[in-house]
Amino acid sequence: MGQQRTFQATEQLIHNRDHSDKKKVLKTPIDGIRENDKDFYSYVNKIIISEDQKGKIIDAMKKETKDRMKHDEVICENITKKVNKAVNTFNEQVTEMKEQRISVTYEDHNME
Amino acid sequence: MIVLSMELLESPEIKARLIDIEYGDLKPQELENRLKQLYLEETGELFEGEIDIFHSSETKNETITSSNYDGTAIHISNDGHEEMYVISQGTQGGDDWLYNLKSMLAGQTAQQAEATNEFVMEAKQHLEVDEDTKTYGLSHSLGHNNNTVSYLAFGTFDEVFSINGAQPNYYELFKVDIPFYEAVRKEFAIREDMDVYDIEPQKLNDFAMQYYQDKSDNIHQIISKDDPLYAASAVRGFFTLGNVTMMDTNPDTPGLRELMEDIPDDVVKNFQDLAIDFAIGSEKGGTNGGVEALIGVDLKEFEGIDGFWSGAGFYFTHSSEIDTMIRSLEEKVPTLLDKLTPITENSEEIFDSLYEAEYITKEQKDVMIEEIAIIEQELHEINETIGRNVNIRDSGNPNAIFGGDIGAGLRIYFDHVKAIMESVDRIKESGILDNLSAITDSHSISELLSVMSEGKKGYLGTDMVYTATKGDGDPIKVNISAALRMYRETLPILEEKETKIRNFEQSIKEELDDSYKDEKRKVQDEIDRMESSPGSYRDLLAKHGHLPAFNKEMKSIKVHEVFYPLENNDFDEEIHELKKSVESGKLYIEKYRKAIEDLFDEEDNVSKLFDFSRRF
Repeated sequence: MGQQRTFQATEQLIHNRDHSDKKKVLKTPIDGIRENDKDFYSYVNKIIISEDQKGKIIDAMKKETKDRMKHDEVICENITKKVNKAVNTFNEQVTEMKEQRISVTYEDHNME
Repeated sequence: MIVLSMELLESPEIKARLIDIEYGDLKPQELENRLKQLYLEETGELFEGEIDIFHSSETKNETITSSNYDGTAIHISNDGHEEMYVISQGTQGGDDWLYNLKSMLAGQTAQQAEATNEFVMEAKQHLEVDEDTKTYGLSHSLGHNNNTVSYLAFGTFDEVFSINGAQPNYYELFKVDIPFYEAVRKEFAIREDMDVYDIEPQKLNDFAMQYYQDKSDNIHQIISKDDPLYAASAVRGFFTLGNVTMMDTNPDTPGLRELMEDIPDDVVKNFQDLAIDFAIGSEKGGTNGGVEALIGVDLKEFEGIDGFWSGAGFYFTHSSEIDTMIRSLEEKVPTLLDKLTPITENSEEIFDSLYEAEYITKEQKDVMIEEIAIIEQELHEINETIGRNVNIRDSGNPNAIFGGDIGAGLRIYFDHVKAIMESVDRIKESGILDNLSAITDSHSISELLSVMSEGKKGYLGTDMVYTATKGDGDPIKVNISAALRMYRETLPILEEKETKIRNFEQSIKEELDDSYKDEKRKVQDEIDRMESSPGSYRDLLAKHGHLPAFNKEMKSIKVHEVFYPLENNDFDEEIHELKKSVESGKLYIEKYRKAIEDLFDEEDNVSKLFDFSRRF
């Protein structure tokens, strides 16, 4: 019988792989939403013929349209930034997860 | 205003707008929806009948496919009443322009009119339309020539309606309508077909008007006085048949018709002769064949010659082509000049009138007159060069002939053809083509529609515009077509957006949450394998410096696994914002509808239009 020994180490259990392609997958529906918004406002913006037309009702609708467009744009912009961050975090965390501390116990027959 | 017996699409405005929309080559469902919206806007009523559509691109009929004819047949049935409308498209590209030249100026073909007739027959079969169903031709520009010639020659339609149409041409009908051909030959006692061009145009015009008089009541036209095609119709060949409503789309600008009427018939005949030569030549050899028929030279054969020695080399390998070119130029250029000179002699008068009418600037007028004179001069010099070369050829001295042929060819190319091309460039640089495009605007359907307004109703392009009377400021122009499209089309857009939001949610789940779990499972599987079969991982000993490894036995591996939850994967707030935007979008559409309704009186029925717009 040899002597049992134990050592500890940090081991990468599985090979790493880059998951950045997830950004594209996640951004595709957002790009589609942006296109929808563009189509939506292109319908709306053709209704009032001239930009210089004035009036309480028209001014109110113009302002609301402008605010909505801006708001929709900001939502998509924020999501796009957050998608980048989320996928970067995913990449980092998966890489970290693959590295674990291990304890290896072996018997050394040379010690007899 | 014209009152037609066409029942379902009664007003000229709806027909004009439909003709214009057809140019968009829409898919059948899209065209059907646009037609229903037109009907709603123009009548205030919902069209609840059936609409079936057949486009000429679906045919395999050789006569149609080879003619470049473009048209759409629309079969409409409502409450047991059926009608078929066939919209023939106007000039769309180079092939159509060539066709215009060959058919309307030269009168050498009526292939698209024949195609119109074939298309209508095929459409009736395809759409299962019986023979008794009234069939109406709708058109603009070249389409009117096709529909009317087809109607006059073959009785294709019950009635035709057009906007700024190209008029039928009696030379074209002479070519295609056999009874008319026989009647003309008999009336004017002509022996050869080409003799028809020598008949006094006014007499032939009067005869054609009389001959087709019975069909005239079924032809309805609206023409802008400023339409350049209307101006062009003043020349030999064209005759205007039917009920015509003239409209002045640019009251501040005189029409071009008077100018065209002032051009002497022999000048127009010269144009026509050149067009006939071109048409006959191009029947055999396409556009190159047409050019070859005019100047007698196939220019393609001389491509790539860029200097004397290149020309000399070419001569050794292609001496027979050079010989043919010089003989052809010798024969054709004098005839070409005979035809061109009277045309260029009139250029001053033509461009002066365009300047007086403020279509072009004084600088542009001067450039045109000067450059056209240069082009004519260069052609004369080409003619003289050829003349001198013929003398050398007749001398019989082979060296002189060789040098003379190359010299003549290069002089023609480098001295004269290049000079002509430079003149053409200067004409382009003057911007006159942009100015003349203002004239072609008057050929458009939308310019005519813009003057077909009544009361609060008007048009912008092919859209209907209402002028609001309520409100606290100046009268507001509302694009009612756009408003109805907004109300009708934006809801499906929001539904699509909802689908994409769901897709995004799903992607977040799959690409981040599930995928992270999957990665964790893979790690966990590996941990299980390591812990259950440590013997398989002997390489860890060497890897971590426990050497030699051959006398060591793996006993166990314990992984002290730590898994953290995935961070930055919470998109709940953003998804909530997106969903909120969809919901508020729906309210916004209704709010916008209400805002527009509030601009109008109740009797304007705007509310009804909005309601109906979502029912097709």
